[in-house]
Amino acid sequence: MSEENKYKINVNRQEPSNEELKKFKNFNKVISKHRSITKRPAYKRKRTYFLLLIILLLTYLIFLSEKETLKEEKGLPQTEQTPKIK
Amino acid sequence: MLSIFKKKKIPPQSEKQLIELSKADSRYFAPIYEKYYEQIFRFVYKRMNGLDEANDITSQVFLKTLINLKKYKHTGAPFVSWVYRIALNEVNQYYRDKKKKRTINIKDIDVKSIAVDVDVFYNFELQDKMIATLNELDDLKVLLLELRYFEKRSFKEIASILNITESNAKVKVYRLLEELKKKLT
Repeated sequence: MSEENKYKINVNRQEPSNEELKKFKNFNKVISKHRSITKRPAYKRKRTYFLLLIILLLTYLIFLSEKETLKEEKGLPQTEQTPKIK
Repeated sequence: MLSIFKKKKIPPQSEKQLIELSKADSRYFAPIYEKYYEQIFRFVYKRMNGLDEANDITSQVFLKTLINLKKYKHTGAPFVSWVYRIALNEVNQYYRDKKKKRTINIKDIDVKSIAVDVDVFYNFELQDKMIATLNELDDLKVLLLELRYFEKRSFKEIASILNITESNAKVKVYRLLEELKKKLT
């Protein structure tokens, strides 16, 4: 073909067989590329907020139980085991 | 709360259902990929020079299909027409980026069928004339010839791929045949 030609024209080129096509087929490659492109940032995920809520809830529960323990310790009569406060 | 972690598994039945499910979870796209991979690959390969290039573009076509799936609305035309349009855009983009000459793959039998429709006697000279004529045509005209004569598609298919009406596709092809007749005789 000369340089003036607009297109590259192939005549009677052989078509690939079905076996050849099967070698190229790879859905996992497509899906992993898609996931890497469309991965949502953490702040947009529901799961992040759910985990944050659980952490806050646990912290609050620990805080409450600590408060309760402190109250109990203050209210208890002093025994031989409990150190005397000077 | 647990529904956030566990996704309900509904056995999908139709392509329409699969498309809708794929919008939320790309794993549901697997049967659609399986169904159309071969025809999309062959469609791309007809416009490319090598198998590896065709493979890269086909992967890109399915990736773009998945990315844009949320924008897809069922209009009555087959879903695959939409994928063909994405494939055409990807092929055009490839040639624009690489600044290469577009590849056209023809067969003797295709030239014969064009010769019959334009009422010209077929011989080896005609094939050379046809190659010279193809080089004078613009991209849209080449695409019409490819779809109608090299891939043997119906006017309905051509219309849905090019997003035009069936009668418009017919008019465009007949005008092109008239132009070819003038150039080949």
